Amino acid sequence: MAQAEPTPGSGSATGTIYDLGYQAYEGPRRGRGYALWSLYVLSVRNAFGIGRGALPKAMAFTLLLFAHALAIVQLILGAVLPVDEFEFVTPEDYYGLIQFILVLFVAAIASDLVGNDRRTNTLSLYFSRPIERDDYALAKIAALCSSLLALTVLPQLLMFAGNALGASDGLDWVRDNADELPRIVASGALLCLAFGSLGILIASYAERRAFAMISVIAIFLVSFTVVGVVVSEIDNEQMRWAIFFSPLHVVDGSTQYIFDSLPEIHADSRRGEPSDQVAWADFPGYVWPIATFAFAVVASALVVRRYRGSV
Amino acid sequence: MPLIETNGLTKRYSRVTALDGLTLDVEPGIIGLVGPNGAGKSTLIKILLGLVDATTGTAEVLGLDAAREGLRVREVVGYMPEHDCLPPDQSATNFVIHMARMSGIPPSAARERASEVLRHVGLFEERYRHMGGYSTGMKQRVKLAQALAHDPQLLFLDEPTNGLDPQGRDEMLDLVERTGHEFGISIVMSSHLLSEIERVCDGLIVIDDGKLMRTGRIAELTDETAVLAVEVEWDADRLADMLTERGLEVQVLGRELEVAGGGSDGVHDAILDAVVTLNLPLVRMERRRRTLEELFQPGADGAEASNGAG
Repeated sequence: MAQAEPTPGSGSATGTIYDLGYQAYEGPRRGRGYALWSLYVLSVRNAFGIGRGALPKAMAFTLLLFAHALAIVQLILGAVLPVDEFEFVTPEDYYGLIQFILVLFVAAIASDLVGNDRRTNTLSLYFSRPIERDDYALAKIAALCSSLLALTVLPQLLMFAGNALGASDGLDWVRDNADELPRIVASGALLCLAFGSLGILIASYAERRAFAMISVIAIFLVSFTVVGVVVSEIDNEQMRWAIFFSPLHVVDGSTQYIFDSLPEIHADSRRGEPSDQVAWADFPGYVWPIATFAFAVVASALVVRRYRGSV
Repeated sequence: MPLIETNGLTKRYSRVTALDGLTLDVEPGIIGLVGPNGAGKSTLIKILLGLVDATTGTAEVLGLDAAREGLRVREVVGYMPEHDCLPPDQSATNFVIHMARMSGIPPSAARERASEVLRHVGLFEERYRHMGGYSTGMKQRVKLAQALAHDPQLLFLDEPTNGLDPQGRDEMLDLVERTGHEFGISIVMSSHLLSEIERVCDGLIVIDDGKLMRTGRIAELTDETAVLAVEVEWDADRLADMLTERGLEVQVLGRELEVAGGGSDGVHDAILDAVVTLNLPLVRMERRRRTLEELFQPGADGAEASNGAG
């Protein structure tokens, strides 16, 4: 290569550096599926604060730790206490006990996943890529749903493994409780679908971050509280329909049905725990997982509709 | 293959007509898209990207139907929006890598492309910093870089010099010109400043109120409307009369005449012939191009011409 000599006219430093040139790209273009996978992976990483600042990381991992707290306590007690098959918390009650942590996680993450792109107008850059608007919406929902798996199914599996190890005959224990595994996965997956899609739906309408977080918390918890009070205080058969307005009740019903542990109806069911209220409503048990799934489908459809409208 | 071809492209919203029967045939190069705010420039770009469906009419970009093959169009086209669109809590490098991947470029190639295009737009050490702290000029460069990340065949730049100071403007225009002319990427660049368009563009599309006012190569446009300025020592009026008799369009400005049709040899010869016949002392004769700005001034004869031709 000839020695570079500054020539008149191209003498400026920047000019010289620019002239290092531009290379055309001849390699493969992988298209839509790969682009979506990239968006999904980036969104999951964002959900846990990876590649972002310390604060989002700290928040996500704190909530992740809280979601595991009960499983960890169970493991420690199981290991220390000289009892065989000690159960501090049962798998069918696990999600109900950590539901507020799950709502907080959805509130914190959903706004990051969809709100930021809308606020900073990055959405217009995504839409100029070889993906469709529906793809963007579904990738974001998938990212939140699968991030939630780490807070639901993961601690349950941890607990399952720990219980097996803690039992005097581990293999025997696994054989006896093998039916729990598909139940853990199925109930957890349904929960994640419903929470994730509802969270993205709410966040996709709330422009500001704080507003999105408050809206998610409010919609899950206010519906839960109001429905709980209405059912227990108003002595009317028709109130059983109110339960469908509370996602937390419906998801609990779905989990209890899948674990075959819907409580028996008794005189005080109406005023009891959420599970008792669900049982009191006295719908066929399979209604609850179907309703949970319906929440996910309707919310996803509304999210897709939301993004079709924006350019 | 034409770069862009539209036929009777019309877009009606419930209350406004954004585009009204736009028929275009654009050849590759750097094309200026000019028109006042609300003329339909952004709507046109969105239709060409396959993001908005036209009410009637068709649009083809690089031979692909924008309405039916939007995905394939967007695979080979880059877009730089007018407004701010960068996430402040990411570095330029990570962001451009991600955008390259969103266009289908595999991970390791995406990293190479990102450093390639960021260097091309003149971002060096700063590219590892969060974009929240960038100046407007740096943000505009990143916006251009993300549009180039997947090595498109065509770029849509929406007001790329928006918000830049004069020096930043110059640098951005240089960058646009280099991208278009040295790297052979066709560019459609919207601007409301004709001087910018004239400086870097080869072709021009003028729309107003959703209608096409004028399209063509800028050189031809200014050629057509070029004038011959003729200065004689005396008797400019007699020369003007004689030229008018011979069917030329003449304007007298003191000792100087401006004769329309400066691009053609016939006019040139006719003037020389008249000067010789009248035996006038010719001081000088020169060809003058009009700037685009003069052409599109309301009331200027160029503007009338632009309504007629096209």
